[in-house]
Amino acid sequence: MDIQLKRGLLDVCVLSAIKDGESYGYKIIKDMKPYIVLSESTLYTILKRLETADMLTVRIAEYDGRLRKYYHITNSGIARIEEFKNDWKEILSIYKFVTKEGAAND
Amino acid sequence: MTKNDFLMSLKDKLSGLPKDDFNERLDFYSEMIDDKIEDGISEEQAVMEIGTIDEIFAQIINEVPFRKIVKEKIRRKKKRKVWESVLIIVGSPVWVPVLIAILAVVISLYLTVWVVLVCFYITSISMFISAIGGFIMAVAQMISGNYPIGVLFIGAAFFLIGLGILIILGIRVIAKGFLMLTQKTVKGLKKLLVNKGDAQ
Repeated sequence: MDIQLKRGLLDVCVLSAIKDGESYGYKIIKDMKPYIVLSESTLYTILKRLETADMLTVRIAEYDGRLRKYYHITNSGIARIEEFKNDWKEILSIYKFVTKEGAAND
Repeated sequence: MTKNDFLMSLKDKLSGLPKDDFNERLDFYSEMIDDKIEDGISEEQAVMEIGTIDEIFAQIINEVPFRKIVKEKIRRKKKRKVWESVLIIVGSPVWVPVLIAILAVVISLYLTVWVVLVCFYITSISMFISAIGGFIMAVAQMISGNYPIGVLFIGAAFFLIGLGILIILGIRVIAKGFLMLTQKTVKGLKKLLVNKGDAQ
């Protein structure tokens, strides 16, 4: 897959993982695991990028005697997810057309 | 490997970089390992899942801009002993011009490659233009009844078009390859600079 494309897709995935409520590193990876495998390093880069783009905020809280970072989605982040969903409605109908064409020729 | 050994080795390898470039990342890994252990994964497994020290080193280096690495090296060099500084300053009328000369040569050689590529590109454009001229001449010859010569011009024009296309294709491949070579060299230089850093 095109690297830029995958990068953008993973960004939206991570945003979705924190869409319904704040989450933390390991939980994000676990939640995404049934759908896509994400390495720790990749997740770190994505979280940093999203934070710079103001699509999420970070808060540090104590948990079990150690510090944990919780990531919280922002309005920009939610807007990005909506943008993704709209983009892909179009891509899905193109896909339907492409695969339909193939079936007709069989 | 235990979590602490892993983090220590990583910190060691990254000692050539300014702390703020990797401390946050290491905290992230530390948190991740702790969460995995809590989830039932063994410490060894948790550490392994992050990746090898070399892999992570390469990833981090990749993200730090070249300038920052050079800046950090220079910043460190300020800690050197007095006599070393004196020697550098005293010897500067010698090594400064030499360094400038070397850099000038390297940079101009590098730019020359690009200039040559551009020249080839311009050559192929001129071939296309000549081909247009060839077609015009062909039409002119045909009109005056010189069909064989007109055909010759058409043939020559197509030949030029074909040659021009070949050159452009070749240039694109070479340019891409050269660009990748440049990027690889920068990456390699970064690694070299950071590695030498931990000898300080």
